Amino acid sequence: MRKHFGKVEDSSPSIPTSTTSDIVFLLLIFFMVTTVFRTEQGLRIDLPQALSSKKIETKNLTHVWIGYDGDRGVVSIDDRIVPIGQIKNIIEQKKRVNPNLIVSIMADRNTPYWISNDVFGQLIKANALHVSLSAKKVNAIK
Amino acid sequence: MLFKRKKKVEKPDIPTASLGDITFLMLIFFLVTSSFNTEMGLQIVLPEESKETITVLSKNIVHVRINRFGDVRIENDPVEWTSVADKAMELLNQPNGDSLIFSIIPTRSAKYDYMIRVFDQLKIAFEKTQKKEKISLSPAEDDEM
Repeated sequence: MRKHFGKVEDSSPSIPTSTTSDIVFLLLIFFMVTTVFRTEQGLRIDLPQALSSKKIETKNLTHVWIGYDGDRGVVSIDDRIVPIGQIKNIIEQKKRVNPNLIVSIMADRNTPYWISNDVFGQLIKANALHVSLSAKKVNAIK
Repeated sequence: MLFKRKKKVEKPDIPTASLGDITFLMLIFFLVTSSFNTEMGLQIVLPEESKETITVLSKNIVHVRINRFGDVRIENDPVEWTSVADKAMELLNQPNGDSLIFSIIPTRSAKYDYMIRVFDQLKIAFEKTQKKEKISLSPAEDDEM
């Protein structure tokens, strides 16, 4: 009789933990694979500084790099040096693919203004009017 | 005879319970340290290329000229570039301040940097006065001789 009323020995429930590391490791791999690193090299430039610089969404961005070589302007789009007169066509093409295109101007601070002036002229012709002038955010300009 | 009964060899165990914690820590570490490159910049909307010109009362346009040495003139008044924001705020707080359009006109061989810092100053002025931003980039002028 007695054994029917005997306490059932309760074994402490355990969750198998040996696989959690695999799960997290999989997560790690997943994040490493899905993060896209920017591959565009651009030109070697020294960006200007600005106090009111704001964060820009990188989603619809295309970069136009402006540098100079002597008194000649050097413009690079998608890591290709392009003549200034060609910018309109390239941007127009990009604009057709993505109508919400924002052009990010990465210009060296020491470039003469006329080069960027000509680039702006090309952008206006391509009807790409949303432009961001890249500048380092600083708290005080030296 | 002394036959020792073979001792059962205990399997060595590596505790695996904490392995998950270690990898999780790694995950957090990589998430935190990988900096998604954020871009900073000044946004501007260029004027449309239109056949008909929009007429703006010329008294509402404030011409900000920059020469190749970086000297700034607001309506022909020489202004130190660091005080462009103050000067602009002064103008914006005038009775007709709401309708003012600032037009930046650099000369062709002015440095890009000069334009940016004046543009920056004007942006600050608009931000501080909380007015709708009206800054336009005009085509470059020829350098004066």
